[in-house]
Amino acid sequence: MFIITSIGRAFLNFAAQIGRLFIFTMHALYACVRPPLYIGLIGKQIIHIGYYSLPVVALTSFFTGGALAIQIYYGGNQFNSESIVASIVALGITRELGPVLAGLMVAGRVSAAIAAELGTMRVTEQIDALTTLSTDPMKYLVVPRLIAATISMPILAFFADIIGVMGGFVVATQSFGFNAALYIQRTTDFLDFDDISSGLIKATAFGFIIALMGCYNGYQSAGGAQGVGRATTNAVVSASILILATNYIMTSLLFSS
Amino acid sequence: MIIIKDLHKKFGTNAVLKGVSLDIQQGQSLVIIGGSGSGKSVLVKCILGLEQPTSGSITIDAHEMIGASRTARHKINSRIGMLFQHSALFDSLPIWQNVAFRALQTPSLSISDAREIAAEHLIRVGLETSLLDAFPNELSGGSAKRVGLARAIAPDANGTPPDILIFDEPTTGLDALMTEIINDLICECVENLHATTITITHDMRSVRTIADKAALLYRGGIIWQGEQNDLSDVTQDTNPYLYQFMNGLATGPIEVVE
Ligand SMILES: Nc1ncnc2c1ncn2[C@@H]1O[C@H](COP(=O)(O)OP(=O)(O)OP(=O)(O)O)[C@@H](O)[C@H]1O
Ligand SMILES: [Mg+2]
Repeated sequence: MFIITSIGRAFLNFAAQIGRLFIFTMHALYACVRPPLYIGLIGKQIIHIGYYSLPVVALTSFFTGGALAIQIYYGGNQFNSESIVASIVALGITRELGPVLAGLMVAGRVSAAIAAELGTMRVTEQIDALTTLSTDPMKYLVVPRLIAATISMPILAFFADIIGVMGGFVVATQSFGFNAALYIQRTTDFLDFDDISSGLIKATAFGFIIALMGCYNGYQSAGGAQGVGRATTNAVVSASILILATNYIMTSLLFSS
Repeated sequence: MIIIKDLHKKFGTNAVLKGVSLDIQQGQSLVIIGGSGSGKSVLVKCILGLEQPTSGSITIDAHEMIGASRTARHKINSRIGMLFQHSALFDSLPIWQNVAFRALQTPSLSISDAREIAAEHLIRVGLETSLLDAFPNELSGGSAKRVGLARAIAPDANGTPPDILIFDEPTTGLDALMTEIINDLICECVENLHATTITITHDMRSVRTIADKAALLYRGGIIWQGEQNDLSDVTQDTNPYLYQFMNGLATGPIEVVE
């Protein structure tokens, strides 16, 4: 009996959580299309979310590109390895690793920061204060972050693509003595516009997820410093899981057609 | 005019407000007194629409606020200035943007005009204008309270100040001198702006200075309300609750431990 009730309770909690998230998302989307739009705040958030994430994303993607090149070189057939390393690094980075790794890194950085900031504002009644000053906190706090992250993520992923491919290039030319011109030639031969664009489309969705999870968890937080801590953890965990799940779904949709 | 009828508010099973009824005339100053945890802050949050009451009615100038549309709420909120108990300053914004926040919502307002509004109101609450570019985390608790007060009474970009003012413990944490200054400021707001004011306080001196009318909240209900003059007639026999509260006695009908 006890087991059944606790399973039931967990399920109900989960359903309620999904319902709340859905309502929050609808409110946020509706707020996006209702004037006024705080352009200045969007710009500020693009700096915070996009620009300041560049170093993290660049480093991650550079090392991943390099590691990928090593794996393919030693794991594969060394005959004709020049074209194989170049092509697999290019495809792997642009289609999957660039956007997903950038998404996960930004989720760790940005979802946490957003959840902590909004959570603190919630528990110190700053969100209430906004409302009493005739400012819709959805429009003032949530919308700029959502828009900024959704714009920034594909740009970050594009950088991740370039730098990841460069990571492979550096390892291939420096460690394996590949011909630089030939490597670049092979990379451009194999890459289609679709490979890059599919990755960037996915990254756009990741950007939305990252900001949404940060805002949702921060906005709903309660119970002082501990509540803010919980909100921050939940934001990062849920954003990361949703990114990976969305990546799977979008990949199967984009590549099955 | 604000009329509250039979207001109830529960958090889960914890009934905080159990049938509060109050009315405040235009331009009147109501002071709410009551022990810690009696639900004073929750009551004003219900008036502001920050908490949804479980049942009851709140009308502001004959508009029912419970279940009101977003635009109706927005319109009323643009007339209300609120000082929160813990100040609730925006800690990512400098002081001048905090104080002039309402005015800054009009994008055409120039920065120098906004700073001027902020400087003027900092002076009104007895603060130095050198604080304009400071951030809230650099302030002492008392100064933060006064910045919160300045933000509450500051006008919008058209120069219209709020005509309903709600102060949640404006003088808690201030020294006696500053308390006097803030009390005078509240009186001035009521007289000059003809603002309707609700002030929550623990300080009986403030009650005597600023109240037209006072109400005692105890265990989620208003157990006494009356005019300022009635307060001096209160004795142990006529109203033991109020007498105990006003004189800060540990023994009496009010149970401190619940
Ligand atoms: N968001 C909330 N969730 C649950 N309970 C709450 C919430 N806000 C207030 N309460 C409860 O309501 C009661 C009254 O709180 P309130 O803050 O109104 O007290 P108060 O009269 O303002 O006291 P004080 O003078 O100390 O500020 C408290 O028992 C508190 O636990
Ligand atoms: Mg309170």
